[in-house]
Amino acid sequence: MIERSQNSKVRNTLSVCRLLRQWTLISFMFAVQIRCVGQEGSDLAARTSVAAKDEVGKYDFVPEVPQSDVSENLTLEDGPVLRWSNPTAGSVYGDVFVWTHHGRPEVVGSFHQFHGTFQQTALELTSLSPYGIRGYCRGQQVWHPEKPGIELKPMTNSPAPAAVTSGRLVQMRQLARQFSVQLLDRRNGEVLRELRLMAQPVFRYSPTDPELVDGAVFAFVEGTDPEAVLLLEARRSDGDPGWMFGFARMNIHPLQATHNKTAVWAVDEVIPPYTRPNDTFTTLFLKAPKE
Amino acid sequence: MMFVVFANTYLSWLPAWSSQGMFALLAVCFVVWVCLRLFWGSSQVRGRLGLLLLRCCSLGIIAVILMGPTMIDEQPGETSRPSLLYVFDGSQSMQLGRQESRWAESLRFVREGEQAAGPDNTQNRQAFRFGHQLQPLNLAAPSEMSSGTPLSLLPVAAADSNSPILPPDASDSRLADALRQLLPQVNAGATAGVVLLSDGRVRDSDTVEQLAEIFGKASVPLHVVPTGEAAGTGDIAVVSLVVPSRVRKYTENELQIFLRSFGYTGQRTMVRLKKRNHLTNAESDAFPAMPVTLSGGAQSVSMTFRMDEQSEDFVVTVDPIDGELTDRNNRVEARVDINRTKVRVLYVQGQQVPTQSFLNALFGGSSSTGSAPQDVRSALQADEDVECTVLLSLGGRAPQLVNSDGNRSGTTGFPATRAELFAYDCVVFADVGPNVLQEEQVQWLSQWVEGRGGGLIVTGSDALDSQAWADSPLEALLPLTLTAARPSPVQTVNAVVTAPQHPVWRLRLEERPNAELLQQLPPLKVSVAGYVAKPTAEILATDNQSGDALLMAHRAGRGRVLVSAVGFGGTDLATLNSGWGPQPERVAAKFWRNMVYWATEGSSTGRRRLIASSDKRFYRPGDSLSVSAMAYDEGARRTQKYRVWAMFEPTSLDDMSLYSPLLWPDNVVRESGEVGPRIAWGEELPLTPDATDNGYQMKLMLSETGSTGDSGFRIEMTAYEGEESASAFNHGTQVDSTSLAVQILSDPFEQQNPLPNHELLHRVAAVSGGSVLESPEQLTDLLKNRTVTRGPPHRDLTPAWSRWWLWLCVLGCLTTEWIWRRVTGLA
Repeated sequence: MIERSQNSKVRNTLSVCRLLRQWTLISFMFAVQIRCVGQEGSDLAARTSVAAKDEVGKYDFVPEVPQSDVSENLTLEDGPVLRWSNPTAGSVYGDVFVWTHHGRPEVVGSFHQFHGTFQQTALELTSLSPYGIRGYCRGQQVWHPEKPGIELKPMTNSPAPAAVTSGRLVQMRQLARQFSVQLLDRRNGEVLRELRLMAQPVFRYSPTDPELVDGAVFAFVEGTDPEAVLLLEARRSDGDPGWMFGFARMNIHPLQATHNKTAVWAVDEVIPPYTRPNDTFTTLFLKAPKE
Repeated sequence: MMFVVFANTYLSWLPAWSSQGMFALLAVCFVVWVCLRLFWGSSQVRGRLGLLLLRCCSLGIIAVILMGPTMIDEQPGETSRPSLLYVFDGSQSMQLGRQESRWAESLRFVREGEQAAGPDNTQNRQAFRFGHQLQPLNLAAPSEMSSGTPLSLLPVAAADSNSPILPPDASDSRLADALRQLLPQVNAGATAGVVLLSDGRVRDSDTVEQLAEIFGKASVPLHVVPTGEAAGTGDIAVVSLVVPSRVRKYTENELQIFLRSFGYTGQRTMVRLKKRNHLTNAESDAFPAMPVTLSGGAQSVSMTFRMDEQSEDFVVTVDPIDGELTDRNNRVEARVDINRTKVRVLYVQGQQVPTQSFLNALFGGSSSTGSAPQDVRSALQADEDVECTVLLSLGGRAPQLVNSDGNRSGTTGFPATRAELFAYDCVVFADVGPNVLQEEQVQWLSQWVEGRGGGLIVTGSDALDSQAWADSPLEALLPLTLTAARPSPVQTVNAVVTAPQHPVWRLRLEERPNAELLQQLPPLKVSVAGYVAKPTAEILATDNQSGDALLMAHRAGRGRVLVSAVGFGGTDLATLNSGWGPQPERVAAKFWRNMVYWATEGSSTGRRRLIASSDKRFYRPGDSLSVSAMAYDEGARRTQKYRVWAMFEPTSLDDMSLYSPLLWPDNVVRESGEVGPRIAWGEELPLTPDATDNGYQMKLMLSETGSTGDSGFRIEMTAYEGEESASAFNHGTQVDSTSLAVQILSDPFEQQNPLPNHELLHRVAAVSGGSVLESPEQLTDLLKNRTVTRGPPHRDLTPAWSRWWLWLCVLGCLTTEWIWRRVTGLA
């Protein structure tokens, strides 16, 4: 009897514990959900944009151009060039900015905020530079990839760049369509996602470098979130301009790119910590701005 | 062109002086000699024969030189022939022909004629082809023409390359324009005539005859070579095929075939849609043939095909009719690729299989849910294009996320925002109703099905609790009425498939094994009664005993809803898998995927922020084109707060044209600097907000005379927000961009009447003074009989005085004579 009575007490205690835990959890979840449900996605996105504008202004980037004594800051282009959302990943919104050197994009930064149950504010930086880059936040160095951020390769079977700007844009769009990019999402099991190419380049440029004729940055997206960027450039080599391409990552998951079904680029998963000051792709985790 | 026939070499006397001059010279020499003898006495060489001979030799050689002996190498004068111009018809109708196409017939005719004429008679001829315009060709020398290959003709621009001449592909035959362009290049003296090689099916025949008269007046006859058999009764051609280039797996798609027939009005033939094997290239009749009654002229045939798991090469053929001019144009091929965009499924399982441990219960660790929901995830994700998120609702509480390892994460899993929900393509309620969701989430779900084409699947008797659906906007979307639904004791029923052709029942590719598999459907459990299928519902399976509907489906707005009174999810799936079909084949898993693919067929992926569509699937020249675009904000609500711009570009990189077939709209200011009536490739145009559907629209007109042919073009659309950028390349911050392919269907003049028009060619020859060339021998005669004009002969003169050795002989004689005299003491 005593034993049965003790068992009964234990069971009652357990039931109370379980009930309390579940109520606490449910109350917390409900509160978070109510907060999130009560806010429109566009409001949250607008808040993210304001925070992004404030944040990116704090950063300076200096390219390490070889045999150059002049250290010249990269120019932050008018922007953001892309405002994105990714409902597949959750309630997350972000803005993409581009820093250029003599017109050519050298650094792409994506500021984003997760809202809802999982909250995070971060700035992802990826280098498109042929040189090393030093990145400073309010004068303090936060990023220093020494290697070039992108490897440009010639495009096979591509036409000569058109003589006019509009013709080259048409060419670049059609050339970009020959690529496909896949992302191996490991957030909940392994899901291989085919990323969507945004038809319009997120950044088009006419650099001052005489070797560069034209160029554009295309985004491969999930939702409208850029997970990889494709750089297409018309460059003069031996006098004749030809098309070159290169990829850069904007996500920590494994990525692979194919050109007309031939593998041309692949990167492995970024292993934590995700803030990697010497890699060409890094994530800087930030404090969420006070509302 | 001038040329040499033969050469001759002979000796001729061309004295430097006339005969009088020669006599005068002799006289002077004689006087000098007499004077010398008179004043200086007798010659010292008298009696010295050697010296005398030397002097005579010297004088003799000089005398000979003065006589001017000259070697003449005479080459006959160059002869010239007036030029002969070949004009080939390069239009599509020249591809017709049974054993030999009209084009090949033309090439063979010229080759045989020229080879018989030989190289001496095949000089000074030029070649052109016409279609839309006159194009000069390089004509190979007869010696370079191989009898086994067509006449070597190259476009002038490709003269240095090895590329052969393109086959006749022009969609028009503008012979009048071609003759008009030739006219300034010909005249009676320099041109022997024009040889026109054509089937006579050309535009503006009246103008052609008038121009032929002008050629006749200019004494430049137009000789004609009529090609093609006039005996044919007609022709059927597949003009074009309109089919989406990328489609989702297992979806039903429409394919539009455009035919043009001539001469067979009222007759019946069959249109066949075949699949071509990627490896063997073998073609198989994968779809039933469709009978079609030919109406004469252009007509369309619509067929549907269901896509399988792989990209397909389709071949459309039309059965030829007896007497048809050719069957080469009775087929068209097209490739359809798989759209690899993931189908995202949100699976909500209501059946509870808890096995919590004491510590888990106490400290709130993750709890195991059993493998039941995981089975559905595995079944769906066995297809690489499906992604499944599993939620578990315990005891009527909010569903929680189940991790890939089978443990509950402890976080609420159902999307907390409208945008997150709209990013799914399919939601499944398995043994649970929508009452576990918040009211707002149910509202979103309803809007998602009706407005964005989401697929809703409800399975299991527990899911059909009328209380769970009461006052829910989702109830109206179901294919059944739940008002009188009530729980009933669990009973096992034998299900009968009532719509075996429905895509959800397509478990095997072959029809017969599939039917056998459907008959093997194991007994299923039902514990609900009183529900009534709506009239709009398609009954897919019924109870063998009672006849009650067990599986029902219908369309709701843009979406699809499928409801099953029997359970297919949770633990029922394992039972179904083990009892259905040969083991270890998981037939039930395939059945699940079929349900998901069917339910999501109308889903417009909610992950996009800009979706564009056109008002028709294809357009003809001169048609109006209406493009509409829907932009969505971050909350997946339709919005007009963005600026949407469209840019036009050709389908192919090979398209070297500058302008699209679209006309610039009258009411829009043009800032690009272009002034032509057509929109240039790469030119931009804004879409205007449309108040009726809270979207954007753009109305354009296609030119009547587009040059794009059947290929169409693309419209690239981009949504921007924020201020216009200072950069010339964009209009602010990009939100999303998308691409819309527009197919243009032209009905080329060439295919309107495939029969040759030899009468026109005969009239052209008659009015221009030319002849109708029936055989290559006549062309040979024409080449040979051109008037030969011979020029003056070319002589190469070599006079004796220019021979150095003659002068050396003279010098030698005189030197010897002088030395002789010195030695003998005479000098």
